[in-house]
Amino acid sequence: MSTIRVALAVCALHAASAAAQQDFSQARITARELAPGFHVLVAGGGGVAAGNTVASIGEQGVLIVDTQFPPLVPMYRTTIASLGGGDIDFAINTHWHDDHAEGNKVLGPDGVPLIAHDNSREMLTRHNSVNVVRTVLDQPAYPALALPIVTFDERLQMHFNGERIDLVHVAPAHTAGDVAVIFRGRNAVHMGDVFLSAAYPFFDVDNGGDFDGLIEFCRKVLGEIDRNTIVVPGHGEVAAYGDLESYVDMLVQVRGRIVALIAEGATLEQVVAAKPTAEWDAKYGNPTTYFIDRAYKSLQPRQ
Amino acid sequence: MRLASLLAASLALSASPALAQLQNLDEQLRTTPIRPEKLADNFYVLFGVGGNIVTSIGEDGVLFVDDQFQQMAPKYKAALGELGGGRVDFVINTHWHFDHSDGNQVLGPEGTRIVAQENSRQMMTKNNVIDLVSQKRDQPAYPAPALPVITYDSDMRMHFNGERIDLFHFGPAHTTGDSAVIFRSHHVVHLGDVYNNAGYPFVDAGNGGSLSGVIEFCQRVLSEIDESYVVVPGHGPIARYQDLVDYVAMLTTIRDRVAALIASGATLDQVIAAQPTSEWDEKKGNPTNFLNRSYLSLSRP
Repeated sequence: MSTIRVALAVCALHAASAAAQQDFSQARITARELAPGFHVLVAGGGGVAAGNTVASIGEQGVLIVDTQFPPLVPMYRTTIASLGGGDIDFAINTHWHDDHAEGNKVLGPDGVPLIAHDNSREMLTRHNSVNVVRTVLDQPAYPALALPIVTFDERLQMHFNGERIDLVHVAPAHTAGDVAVIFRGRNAVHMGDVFLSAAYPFFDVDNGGDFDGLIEFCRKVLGEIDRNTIVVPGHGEVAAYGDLESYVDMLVQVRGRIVALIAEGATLEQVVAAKPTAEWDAKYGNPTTYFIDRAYKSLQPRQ
Repeated sequence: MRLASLLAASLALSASPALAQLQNLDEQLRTTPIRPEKLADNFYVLFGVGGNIVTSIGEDGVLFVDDQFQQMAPKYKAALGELGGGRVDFVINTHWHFDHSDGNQVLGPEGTRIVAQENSRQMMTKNNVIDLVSQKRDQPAYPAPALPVITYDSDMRMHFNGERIDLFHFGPAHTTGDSAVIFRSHHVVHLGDVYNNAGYPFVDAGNGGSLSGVIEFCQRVLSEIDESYVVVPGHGPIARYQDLVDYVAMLTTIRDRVAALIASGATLDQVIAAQPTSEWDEKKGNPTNFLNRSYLSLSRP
């Protein structure tokens, strides 16, 4: 169990340039059917830590959410073919971090239309540094063909394989360009890294991520879905409505504690020492690798 | 087919004073060629039968704004080939009326991705009646492959052939699902039938269109562009920024006159008799149908 948690923590730090440390030759894709023609495709093995991909396969073709890493693209294409799908017709990026979007570099040049939030596309056009606390990851600008062709700000709809798909952006959260993708017919939502099912969230604070925005984001999605909705996290096991609900409860309580400590003038070390996450660490893992640090920074009073 | 043609002709007609020429839509569809007018390298307006098409051709492929009638599809595909384009990758429908989106029924099944405002897609999923005053035109629901796959509410963007393309919806206007499509590098906007440059506009008041909405929609577009922009109307010749300014001024004057008449208790016949459009009729044609729809639109609470 603890190895899973460690792996998840690494995921949460979005493996990023960790591409170098990942052995893709040892990777494989595991598919799990969540509803007819609707699957989650999870990369594993070889220390590979890519975001969860969701695939809708049906009469109109194939739509995926998140594109993982380039070496994994042929692998999940094979998986999609084994599930009865053909070419990928659309790919949505939940956000711009490379463990969710780097596969764009294969799909885009192959002519697959890419869809993302305005801010995610903007980030993909630039050279970025992602401060994951233990290290700083480097993500160079993507070539033009790997950039999203369709972008939006608040909402966009797709109508594909017989269902309506709502793309929703609420506020800066994990990044400044997150999208929740709600499949209305299948009754499922892909949350990207706004929600991790077994790790604390990572706020990419140096690039506009925001603790309060992440809570607001999750609440908005909870208001758009129902108790039967399948909740796919950016990383980790597929979850349910109640898991997202309890995640929000946890974040609200942790936030309150850290804000109170900051108001008392606590340093980061003092916040860590106060163990503001203690009762949830068994579920979400070590809070000191990145979570409390980024939370402390995000929750500083705005000038 | 014959009735449909007649009715179709009369919708096109609301956009054109050349009524007599439009008596036979089938004949038109058979004989009218696609006439490209170049706005820039790899960027054209395609005139044919139905709404004006704008096309961008480049390294990302081909994008269309509007796709006219099914019968025109072989012709514009051929024209596209001569202009160096291949298959149509994307079509944006400025709205759901058949003379702008009937071609979806050819392009959609071929794999072209169709984009529209959400309300336009909803209209395309239903059987509709378009009340053109002179006649009522049926527009049956489109089959699934002809429907937009991507829709938006107020705005979205495309990034295609090296430029940003802004899609805006500013509320009910010609229909409840109009889009303005702004090509930011080419400085071109396609306004669909919110801007008619071939006569008075048709406000589809029977399906939620609004004369005041047309005015506001145009004003919002004017605030998004500047005097360097080329303005492509849904029908009629290519125009400039100032033409759109003049159009808004005309519609505002007429709207205020008609609204005042309605407030004083005037019937439709009395509004028509008052000739609130007289100084533009020579240029824009017979205002009777326009006034009919304006009256309905402005009579609403």
